[in-house]
Amino acid sequence: MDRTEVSVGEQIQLTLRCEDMPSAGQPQLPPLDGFTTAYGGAQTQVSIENGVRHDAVAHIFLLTPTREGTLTIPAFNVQVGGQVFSSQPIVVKAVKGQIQGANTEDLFQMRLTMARTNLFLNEMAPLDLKLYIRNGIRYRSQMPSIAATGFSEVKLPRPVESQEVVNGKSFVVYTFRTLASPIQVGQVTLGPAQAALDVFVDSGRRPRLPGFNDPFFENFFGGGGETKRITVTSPPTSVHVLPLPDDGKPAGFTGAVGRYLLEVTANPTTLRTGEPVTLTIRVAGQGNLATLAPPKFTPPEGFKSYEPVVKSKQTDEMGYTGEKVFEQVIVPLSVRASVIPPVTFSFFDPEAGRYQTLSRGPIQLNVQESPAGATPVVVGVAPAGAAPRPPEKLGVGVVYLKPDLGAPAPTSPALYRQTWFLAIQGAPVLALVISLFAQRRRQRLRSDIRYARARRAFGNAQRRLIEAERLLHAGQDRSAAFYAALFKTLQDYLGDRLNLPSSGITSDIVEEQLRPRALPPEICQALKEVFAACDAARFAPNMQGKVDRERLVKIVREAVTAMEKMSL
Amino acid sequence: MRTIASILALALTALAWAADAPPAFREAAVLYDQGQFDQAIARYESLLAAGVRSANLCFNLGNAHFKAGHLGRAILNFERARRLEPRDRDIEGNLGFAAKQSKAYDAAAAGSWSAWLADLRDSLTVDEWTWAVVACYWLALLGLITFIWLPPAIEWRRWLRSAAIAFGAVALLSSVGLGAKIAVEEGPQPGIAVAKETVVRFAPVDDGMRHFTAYEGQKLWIVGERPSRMQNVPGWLEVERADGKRGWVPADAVERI
Repeated sequence: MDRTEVSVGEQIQLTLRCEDMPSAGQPQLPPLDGFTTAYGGAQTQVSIENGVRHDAVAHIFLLTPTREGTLTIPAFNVQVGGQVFSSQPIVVKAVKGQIQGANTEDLFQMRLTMARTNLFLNEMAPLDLKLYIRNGIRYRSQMPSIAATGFSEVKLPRPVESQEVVNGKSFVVYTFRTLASPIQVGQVTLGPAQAALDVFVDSGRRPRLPGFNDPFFENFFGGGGETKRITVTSPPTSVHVLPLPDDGKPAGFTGAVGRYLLEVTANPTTLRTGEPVTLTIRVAGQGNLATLAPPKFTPPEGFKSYEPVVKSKQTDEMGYTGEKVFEQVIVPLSVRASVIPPVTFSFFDPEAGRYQTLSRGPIQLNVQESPAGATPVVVGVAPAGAAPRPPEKLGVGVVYLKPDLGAPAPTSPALYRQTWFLAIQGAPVLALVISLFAQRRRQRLRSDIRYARARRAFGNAQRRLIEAERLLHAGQDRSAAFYAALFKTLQDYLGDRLNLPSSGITSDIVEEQLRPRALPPEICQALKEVFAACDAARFAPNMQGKVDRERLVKIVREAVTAMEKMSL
Repeated sequence: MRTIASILALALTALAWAADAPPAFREAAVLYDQGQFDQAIARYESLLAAGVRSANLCFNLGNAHFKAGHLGRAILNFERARRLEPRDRDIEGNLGFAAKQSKAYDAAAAGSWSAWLADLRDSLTVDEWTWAVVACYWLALLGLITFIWLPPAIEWRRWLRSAAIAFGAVALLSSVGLGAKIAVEEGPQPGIAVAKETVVRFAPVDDGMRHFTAYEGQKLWIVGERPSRMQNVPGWLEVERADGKRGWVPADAVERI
């Protein structure tokens, strides 16, 4: 463990080191009570001692305590080649709040290191900038910057992220490896380097940070859900820079400092006057390749020359080791221009402490006089039927560009994600269900007479009552028709509801059929009254006293409505 | 009526948009013809940045990347074009040609049944699959409803029922295709490795143990993400290879299709 005392919620690192167990694979941690676990990767180390190779793999697990108290990581086994290896149990004390004695060094560090402290002017030297951030801290960092007065601009590349244990504490480390080149002589300072970090202040843990009055530190592990910007600064580093010596400085020296090789080739070497020759000058080695000027080459009389072009440049990630290729086109204008003079390249070698001049050439050309006019070569057409055509070989390649933009890509979400579209899909199902019910009802109306009569009874009764009302208001001379209509209404309704022949319905139906079917007595009585009134009107119209015909209509309407709600 | 009018207006706008390509689109084609592929790429990307998006734009951008030697980005853009126009033969041809240049190209896998089924699934867009299912479903149900209401005496009533059942069966089959397409859309996002070679690691740290190598143009499925905590430094993506192997790569090594 990188430590055995930790705050709740803070990450600690468990390293399981397997030595000389190449087939061990990734060990599995047992379920740990009180911890959340994550595999943080593995680091491989190979060493050779007395000719014997030793392999070591460090498997890193990141553990986060979820509660306070004394937590135990039990012993667990790793099986390799049938042999079982056991670890030791580890006890971790998890506390709420920050561990006593914590300081910024425990949380953030930045270190700036030059590989060499004595440099010549313009000499490039590797530079390491390391930003350490304690594991378990939630942050977002800005790219660091280095104060580099006295140096050419230092560009920081993309860092390498790794894990490192420093003084028993686990850190995330960002390593920026680059190059620096001094442009002043004397004691030159590089740095400090600075990085701004937005640190997310966790909630739920109360700090006890001695010596930090800044409210940030007071609240670093408490307070709740805010972001605090802090600046991490590295100490500067100092470099002693020597000037380039004047003694022995070659005439063609253009400022290159490093160690280089030179290669020069020409192609073609047999040609006619007026045809171009490509002179390829390759400079390879260590140094500031980015600013390397082309080697000195002055074409002699009789050559026409063009500006050299950097054709290829291959360097390592830092731009320190690699090669730069210059291509220069020259054209011999006469047969006398048959020798390309030497190409020279001078540089200062800082390791040797002196200038060096490399020279390649001369290169001999075989230049012939160009003919007065070139005759075009005519490709003849094969006579018809001379030979069968060989099978056609189709070329392969990419199809050419599209001439227009075409249809725009849809910007709305996919149809299956749109509620309106999904809702519409319910419509045919609903229509089908309605159709099925309607069809079933239609068939029942056709086949089940009792059901059909019961279904139409109320509607028919309503229509007949309207007719009766019309007759009611038509005058006394339509009285017989009124009673006939009212009687017919009751006959038809009760006949339909009880599935009996309507013509046989009389007042007796009340006692015989309706009362036994629990029709309320008052309705039974009212119906009998209506039947009696109708009978009287039909059979003894002159004997009929003054009858409230409107009341009769009302009785029938209420009785029909009441019976409609009943299952007769 | 208003809906029809707006659909017509949209269609006319689309036609006008297609016919009147922006100047950057035409300039890019000229630069492409002159062999200035990087500048052509910049023009096409400026259109993408302005919100213009179409299969043809992605196709042309893929071509420019291919010519510039960016195989991964070429395949990425051909894939993007194919998602929009899955049955375009030019896109299919260029994608196939570019994919064969990748070190990750697996000829055996390309001719397998699963590849054939995947091609079938991808032959329609998700909306096209949806329309196919919905059209068959509506025809099946409307056929059944008509069948229900038609008098039994009508001779072609039985044929109508058979047709409705057939449409229902096609709707069911199409819904399998739609389901597969939605599963792809909703599942892990596919991406293309754009760096020449990317080490896929067991853990999202630069010194994490090496698991396997992803080659430029290789298709990977993005199953997880760890955002960057350093400015100008990409985060990490957890990716899965076709054979199910998983690991972490820097987020700028793989681009989502």
